[in-house]
Amino acid sequence: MDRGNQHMGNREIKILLTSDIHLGLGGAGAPVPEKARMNTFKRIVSLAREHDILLIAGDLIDGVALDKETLDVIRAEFNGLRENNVEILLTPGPGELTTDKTVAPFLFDLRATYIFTSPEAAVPYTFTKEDQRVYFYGIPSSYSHDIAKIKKTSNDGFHIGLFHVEFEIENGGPRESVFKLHKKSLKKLELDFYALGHNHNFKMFKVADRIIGTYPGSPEATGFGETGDRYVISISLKNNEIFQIKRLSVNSVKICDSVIDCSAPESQNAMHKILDESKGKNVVHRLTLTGFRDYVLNRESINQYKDLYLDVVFCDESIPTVNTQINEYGSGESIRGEFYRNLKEDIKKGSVPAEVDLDTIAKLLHTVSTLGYEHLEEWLCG
Amino acid sequence: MRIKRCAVSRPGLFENTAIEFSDGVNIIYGRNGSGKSLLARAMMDALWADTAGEGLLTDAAWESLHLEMLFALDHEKVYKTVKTRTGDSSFFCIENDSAAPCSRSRKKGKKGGPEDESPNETDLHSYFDKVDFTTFTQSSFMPSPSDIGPDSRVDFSVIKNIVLSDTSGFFDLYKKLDDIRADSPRGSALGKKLSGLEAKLKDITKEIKIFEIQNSKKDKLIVEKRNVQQEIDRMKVELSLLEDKKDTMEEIRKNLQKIERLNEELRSIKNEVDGEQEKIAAISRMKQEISDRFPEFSGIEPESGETLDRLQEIFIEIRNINEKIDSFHARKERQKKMTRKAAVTIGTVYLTLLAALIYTGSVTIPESIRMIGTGSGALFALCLALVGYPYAAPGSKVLDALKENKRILGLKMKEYADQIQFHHGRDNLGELYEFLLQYFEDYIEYSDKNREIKELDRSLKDSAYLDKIQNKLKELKSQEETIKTIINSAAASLNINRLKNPDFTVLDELTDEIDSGIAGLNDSIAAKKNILVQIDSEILQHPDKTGHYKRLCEEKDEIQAVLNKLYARKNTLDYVIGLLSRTIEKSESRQLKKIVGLAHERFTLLTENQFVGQVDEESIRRFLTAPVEGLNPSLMHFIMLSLKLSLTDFLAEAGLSAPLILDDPFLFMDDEKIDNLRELVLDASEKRQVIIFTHKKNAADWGNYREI
Repeated sequence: MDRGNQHMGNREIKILLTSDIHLGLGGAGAPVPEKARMNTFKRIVSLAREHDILLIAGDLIDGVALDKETLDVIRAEFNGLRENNVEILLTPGPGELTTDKTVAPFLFDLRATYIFTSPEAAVPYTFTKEDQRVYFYGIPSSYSHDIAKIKKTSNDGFHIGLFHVEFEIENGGPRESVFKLHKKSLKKLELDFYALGHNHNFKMFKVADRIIGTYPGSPEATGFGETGDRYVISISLKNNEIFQIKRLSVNSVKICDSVIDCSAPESQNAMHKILDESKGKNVVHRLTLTGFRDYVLNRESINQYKDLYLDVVFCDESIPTVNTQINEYGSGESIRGEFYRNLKEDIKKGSVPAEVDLDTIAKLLHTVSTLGYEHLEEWLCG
Repeated sequence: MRIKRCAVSRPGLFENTAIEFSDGVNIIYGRNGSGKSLLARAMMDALWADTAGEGLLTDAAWESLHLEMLFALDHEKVYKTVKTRTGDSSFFCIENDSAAPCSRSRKKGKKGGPEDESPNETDLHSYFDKVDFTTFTQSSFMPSPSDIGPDSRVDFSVIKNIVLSDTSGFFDLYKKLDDIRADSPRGSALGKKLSGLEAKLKDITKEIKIFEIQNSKKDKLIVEKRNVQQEIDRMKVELSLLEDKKDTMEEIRKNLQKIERLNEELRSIKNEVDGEQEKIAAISRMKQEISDRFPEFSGIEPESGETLDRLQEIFIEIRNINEKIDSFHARKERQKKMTRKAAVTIGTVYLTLLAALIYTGSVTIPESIRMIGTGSGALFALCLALVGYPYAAPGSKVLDALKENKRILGLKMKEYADQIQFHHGRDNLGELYEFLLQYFEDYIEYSDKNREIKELDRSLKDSAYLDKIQNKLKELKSQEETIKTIINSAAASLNINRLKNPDFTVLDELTDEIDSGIAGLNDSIAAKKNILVQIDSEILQHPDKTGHYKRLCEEKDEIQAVLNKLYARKNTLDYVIGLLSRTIEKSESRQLKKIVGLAHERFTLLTENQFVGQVDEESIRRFLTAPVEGLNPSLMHFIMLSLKLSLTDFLAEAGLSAPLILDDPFLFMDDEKIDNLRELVLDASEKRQVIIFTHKKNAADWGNYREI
């Protein structure tokens, strides 16, 4: 498509790259509410209005079983972009593929300019602006399609690959649904730039000081491992060369993921300190407790932070020590209370057999009380 | 649990009779024979009857009976049970007016674990897990007094599931924990895993043992090989020491040889020096001798000496001529003798022959006189020639020549004598000659001596040379001392007594001994090496399974580590179960006391102390814990009723609820007791549903009333 004069009235071609938005992911257990995810998507679309092209490197949606409402929003947003003469190019990731690995038909109704559906990618999508030409190559995500085999179809212009692949991983990694390109193949790649999706963390690749590719990462966290700022990438081309690459923070929700080892001294204070320092209404903080805990947990004191955060997800993987359990449960008329009182007595008198470890007692009792009797046998034999 | 509604049909008794129940007290009135007890039992059977074949009604009773019942558990979940004829009850979860089939008990899935269940089923299963038929009947069903037999009782071992249960869930835990302890009679996963690992450990240990036994021979061979090798090494060291000793002795030998050479040289030098000294002494002695014996020659000047020598030479020539002349004459004499002898011999032979011929007659004198005469004449001539030949021989010319020479030499001799003014006082040559003969014999001797002295003197070395050989002598002696020191040091290093004063004989003996030792060691080493070869050959027959053995050991260690971990957990579990047992024992005792107290309180309230002398807490305790004989039915009824009313509190504490079903409780009661019962029932109804089946209308105002 021939563009003529564009947004900035200059000869730049501006491209916005994103991937792995995973609309539809939000639900029970998702760290980021769906509403926040949708807001982020809209923010990206808003940023895209200042560009010539929006590239989506797969997993715009989390799966083909998406509700109609979400599809309508996507369609409307894309429509808006198209009306602003912004091209939308999409390479399907696993989220956009059906069980038989074909592109979900409803994707074609979303008003994207072009969706790369052919595994051969013989014919690239061409974008022309004045005397600049950019060729886009893409194939649907698949573990068998080798993107290194995709070559330039002409010698002019700038050639960009839009792929949903795993890049630069260790040998012997788990089989994934996407193609794995080893870093040794970096130098064999022929295209001028690789706009990638699949890896949810921002990465940039260089060969001899030339940036040859980037993962923008997920613009909104899909799991608690995706902490901090999330990005889209704005690329400016001039004279068929990359003139500028910028990283723009777009996430609505910031994820914090902290682990507190309760066996460390002052861990209670550390817990509160961490929660104090990172509080924010757009922050979801997962706090995981591990290790042996020598104090009774005051859940109320943690719950009070829920008002200061978007959400506080509290994972108590800590194991209360025997003394802690005695303190917590050793009162009351129940059999449990009596049991812990008797245990305390045994410890005091030194009647606990030498071959029995207090930590193991703590683990056993804790396994039963938290996971249930059904998991006890698994723990005993594990 | 609260029963909400039931609909029962039985031809001739119940015509699709529907009863709505309230959550509090329900009075179901029916006249005798109206089926009240049947209904009560049918309701319980519908809930529990197919559990292990238990039931209150016989199969025959269910032949024409059909019961549907709605009941609710906690959280207002409503279920329906339908039981008809003989067969299991069907259960349904009621939600939004629809009934979904569900099961009352957990079923095992294909893989042995629990099948997936819906949340509604979970609650159902959970309830019936806790409240089984026996627990319910013991805690919540009071049969009609007419049905109470002498063996009727409330068994504490059953109801303790209720009295010991609390919201902490530890009693349930205790029951379940017993099943998973390693030595649980039912077999537990932990037990199986421990057994499996122990068996595996045993197998691996056995395999390791077999391997070790099999390898012990190989190990022994290896040890033996090592020992043999060590022995070889030791012998090599010994060999090396012997060779060093031999080298040292060889050095000693060489040094001794050096000393010998030095000594020879020393002797040579010494001989030379001695020789020189002897020469000097001889020269001095000879000079003294000739001076003493031939004083007349001491003044002879050298020139005169030369002339005297010449004179002496002439004298010697003359003497030689004289000897020749003498020998000529001697020869002549011999010649003469020989010819004379020859003539005599020829003559003798002739005569002998002639005599023989004559004697034999071969020749006669007259006949052969001519011949004899001729012959004799010839013989005479021959003899004459022979005798006369030496006289006529020309040898006299030679003699003349000799005499002439002698004369010439004599003249010369005189001339020389005059020349040196040799005063001999002799005038003629003959006398001079005789004089000189003696003189020159002396002079010859003197000259010989002089010549000898001169030769000796000439043969003397010069002093520089003598100094040089003296120094050489000293040097050689110093060398000798040095070498001796080296020899002694080497000998001392060998630490052999015999080498204290080493000589070649000792060295030879010792060297022979060492050579013998070396040869012996070499033989031994060769023999040991042969043994090594044999051992290696045997070792090769045992392939190296070190890798496999190592893996076995590693596996054994891993299994042991896992076992240790599991044992630790097992021990912990055993301890916890033990502690729980103790805890429960104490709780049991306490709860027993509590229920006894509560039951006694209710009994007293119910009976208005009527049986104060017969029934006390102890008797109630005995009733609970052991079969009691001799109690009358009414007393038994009152005690059981009191106990079941008391269990209401415990059910609540355990988080359980079950409707209290009383079948005809008023049988043995007067109005006061009925009033007392009412109080107790109303009290109980605050915590659980109460359903009373009765043929008396007294209780019509107790609660929800229904006639059947």
